[in-house]
Amino acid sequence: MISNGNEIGKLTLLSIVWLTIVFVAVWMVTWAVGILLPMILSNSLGEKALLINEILCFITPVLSILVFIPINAMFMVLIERRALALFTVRKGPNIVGPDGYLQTAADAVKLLFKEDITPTGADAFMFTLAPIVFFAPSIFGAVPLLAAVTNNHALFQVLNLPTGIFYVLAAASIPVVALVMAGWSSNNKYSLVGGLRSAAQAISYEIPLVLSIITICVLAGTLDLVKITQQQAGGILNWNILGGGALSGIDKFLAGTVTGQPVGNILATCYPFSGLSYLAVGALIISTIIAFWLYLTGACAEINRIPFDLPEAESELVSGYNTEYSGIKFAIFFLAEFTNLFVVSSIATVMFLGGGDNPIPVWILDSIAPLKQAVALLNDSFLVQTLHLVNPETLFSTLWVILKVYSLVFFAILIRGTLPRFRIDQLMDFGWKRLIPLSLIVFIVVVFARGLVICHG
Amino acid sequence: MDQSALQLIQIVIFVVVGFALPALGMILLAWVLQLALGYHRPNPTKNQPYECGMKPLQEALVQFDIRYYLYALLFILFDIEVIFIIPWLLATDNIPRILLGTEAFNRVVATANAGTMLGLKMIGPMEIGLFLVILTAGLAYAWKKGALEWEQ
Repeated sequence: MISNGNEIGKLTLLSIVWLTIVFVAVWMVTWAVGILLPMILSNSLGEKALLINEILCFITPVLSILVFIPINAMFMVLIERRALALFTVRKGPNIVGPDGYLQTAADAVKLLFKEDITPTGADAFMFTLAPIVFFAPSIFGAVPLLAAVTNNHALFQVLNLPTGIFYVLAAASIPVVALVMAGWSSNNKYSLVGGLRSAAQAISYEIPLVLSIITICVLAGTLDLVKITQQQAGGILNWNILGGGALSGIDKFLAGTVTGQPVGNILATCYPFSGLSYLAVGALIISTIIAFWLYLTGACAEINRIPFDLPEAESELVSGYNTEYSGIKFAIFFLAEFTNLFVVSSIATVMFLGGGDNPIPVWILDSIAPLKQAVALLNDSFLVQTLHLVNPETLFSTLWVILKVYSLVFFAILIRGTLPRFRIDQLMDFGWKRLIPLSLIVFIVVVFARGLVICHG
Repeated sequence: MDQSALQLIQIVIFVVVGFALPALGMILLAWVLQLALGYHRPNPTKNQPYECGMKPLQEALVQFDIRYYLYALLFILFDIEVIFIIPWLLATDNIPRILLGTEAFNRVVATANAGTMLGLKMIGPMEIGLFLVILTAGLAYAWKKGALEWEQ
């Protein structure tokens, strides 16, 4: 076995440096526009500043997303290329900037300067519209997610929708229209086949994807993303991936036993049908883990990543639906692809992995005294009290969200480095004959088992 | 302004920004760069659709396979199923209450033993179970008819 520990260290350093760049940039912009500016304005203008504050309240999330998307896509492309190089024992990009850190920034600039070509016979209007339609949903689909991943932070509170996940799924199904548009308008056979394949693939894999999400919604009893996140608070036992809150009774029982408080009949309340209820808990845990796997598989297919990258299979279709695209239009396709990867990872984090929740149960954390002191110290500091630069309530949850989302992104890269591509008939068979029946079974099991347990009680 | 109106405005802003910003940004950037660098020299060979280096043989917009259409039809079946599941999941806990009426429901719950409670809890799941059985029969029929075979 070839030892490349050195390369792993370099990759880790690169991720940490780039992640710091991405989030400090977004943090600073959000803080400056959302908190600092209103503070200065209300000091100088007094009552008149109210209207401007309202407008700033709308602009802040938009600005933070607009700053976030390009920098994040640059980071994700770089980390993907470096990680793939690591898996195949190559060097990867390491020339531009210190150890290749600026490779994707240089690529982005290069793409802007490329000549913009529209092929003869192409439908110019559709050809231009397709990248925009592809990119747009990832911006406005992220609206309710933003409230959920920031733990309903005051700046993003207004974004939260009561039909959150439904809205996200609706937005997530638009890009396939753009791919068909791109394929059809390019006047190229490869593009046409790529566009049609992407349509067939996206509609087939959307069913297991949506059913696995709906399974979690059944357990949560709501579509509101913030509510779903808040229900999962208090450690890994409450997360939706482990039974969707079916273990929360056991969690409470353990907490009571450890801290020495009276537990009363918590177990009897949460699991009212004794043996049958515990059986249901087991079924729920297995079902939700399968649902998580179904979601990951469906999401991989929805965003056309290996092993489901048939729409752009470069060994068969040159580059699929984006064969004829160059310059800035191609750049937008590229940007949207990586933003979509980020969006589906955030959905997985919010729906299954507890959003910003700490995996360690609350009753263990509470028993660690130095941690409490550190948080209290931070809370009293100048940064929090005067500048409002850090919100201790959301700081840690944001860090957990970053860790979880980028772990899922790394997992997608790992899959890309591991699995070969499906053939189209295998793809359809796998989708319709395996995943859809499996997701129906999981759904039915969860629906019946849920009645036997008090979830999130 | 109440919360839902604020949310609506916010979404409109995001939809507008989502569409308008990429569109305007893209067109403006391409235009500015072309003006600045003068790099837009199309010629017939360059603008030809790519087909492995040779001249394109016939129209690119060829007829495509009917199989894509079959999958799309089946997809509609399941998409509608999901649309029906969503209102059910929001109402499921209240189904026994609605069926019996609040007063009668409270009376039943007050005197219920474990078996009755189990029965009440299973009403919602039974309903959606019936619905899914009918839809799954549709999938099974399509499967048996060979609609799910890519190679025929």
